Amino acid sequence: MTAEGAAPASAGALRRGWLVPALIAAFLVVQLLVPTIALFGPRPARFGWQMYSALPDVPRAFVVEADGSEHEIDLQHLFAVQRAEIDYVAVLRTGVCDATSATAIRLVLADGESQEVSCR
Amino acid sequence: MSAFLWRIAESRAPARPLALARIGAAAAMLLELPNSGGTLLRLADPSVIHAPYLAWTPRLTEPMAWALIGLWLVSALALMLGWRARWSGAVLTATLATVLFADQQTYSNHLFLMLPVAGLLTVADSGAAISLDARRVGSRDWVAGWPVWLLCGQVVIVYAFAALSKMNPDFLSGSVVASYLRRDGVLAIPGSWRSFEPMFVLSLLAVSSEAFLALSLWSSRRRPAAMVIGLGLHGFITGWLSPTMSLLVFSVLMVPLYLPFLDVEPAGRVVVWDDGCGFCEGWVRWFRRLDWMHGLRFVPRSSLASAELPVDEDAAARALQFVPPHGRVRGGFAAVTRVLELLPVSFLWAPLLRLPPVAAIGERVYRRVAANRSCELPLRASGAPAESRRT
Repeated sequence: MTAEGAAPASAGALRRGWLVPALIAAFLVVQLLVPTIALFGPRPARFGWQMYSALPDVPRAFVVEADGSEHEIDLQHLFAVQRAEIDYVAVLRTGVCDATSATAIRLVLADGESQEVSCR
Repeated sequence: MSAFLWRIAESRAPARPLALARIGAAAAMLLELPNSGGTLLRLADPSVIHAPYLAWTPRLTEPMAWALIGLWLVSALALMLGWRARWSGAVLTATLATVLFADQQTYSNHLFLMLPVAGLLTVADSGAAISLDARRVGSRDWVAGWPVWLLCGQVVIVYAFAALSKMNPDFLSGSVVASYLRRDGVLAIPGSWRSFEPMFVLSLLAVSSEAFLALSLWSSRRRPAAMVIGLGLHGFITGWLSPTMSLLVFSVLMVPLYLPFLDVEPAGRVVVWDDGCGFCEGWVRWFRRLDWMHGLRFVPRSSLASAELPVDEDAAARALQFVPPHGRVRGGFAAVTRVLELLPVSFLWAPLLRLPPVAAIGERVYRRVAANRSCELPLRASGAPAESRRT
């Protein structure tokens, strides 16, 4: 092997040598940081290893028509799986508002708190 | 920190414990398939709402769902058997990632856990032993250590955050445990037991078990206790909490991942036995058959002189001897316990045999059996039995 050939090879080896420690560090940072951030949000949170840490809070949803009347949406039929971690506000806004004549959707959480999402 | 990372990067790990972890983890992934496959097919139903993480994610169709189910089935089966393990692991990892991020409704913690586990099993070359690949190209004793170290780290992270996230008033009030306890079947917990005191105790036990596992799996001193606590925790959640199938999948996924923690170097521990005794020979034959991690080296008493071990012939004639790479030589029942702690069929419960009353009773029983065993010494060259003795 020539000297010219040896130099790039050792640079390559050096790069490869750093790759594994960098991968280990990146894996650890992601796997520690994501669940740590999730600890400070509502539970259970996705990607936080928060199995069975809280009772799942699946909301009830009501369609609000233009005349002010309301009727409940059967979320069990609308969703394949109802998990507490799903962003129901965003999903229902795109999934229900676009498909119906509703003017708003009202979400009622298990603790009775209500949240209205405008379809306009 | 940099030196630490370099040390991990350059380390190596025994291949066989990782291979057994691969088989267990792939089995868990196959067990999960009916559940996740059902969710995928439901998502392909146009009447079911689409809940993507990113707006541009395409909606699942039925052919896409079946393609993902097929890829999952074939790649998980191939990984379990160790057939083209690197390729099958890579396909499985990609399939799991696609399923997980296809829609918010496919998420579950154990599915999310399967993703790094499958990825690390792939990178670690978990098909290097106990696999069809090993039959084809030959088995290896060692693999790169850093993916195995990350796999162990992943297990510790899961337990640590599971414990941390449960340290909240809601969980510690016992209401969460009470609501998940099984309500029907032979293991159902009566409603009258779901009062504050027992549920509070169960909640505390859950948090402390998970915290102990996170802190102890990597500690050689506390690891035997961690194995027993892991068995208790996973036995309890699978038996008494619901939904059973999800918890069974989680347990089948987690428990085999304890094996790489055992630090079983190939032939790293020595078992010295009395080869002049048929009774001992029978036991050792079983130990050999069950030593799937090949962590034990068996030395007969007749070869002791050439083996350079800190065991004398008299001790080996009296009882089985266990020689670890570091620390005290164990004899008799304690040696049997240490052997059982290294066998995949018994490593979870064997540390219970160290408990003082069990160890004391076990040692007495061992001595009595050893004193009354009937031993035939090997035949002499003439063909006549050398002598019969009782030791």
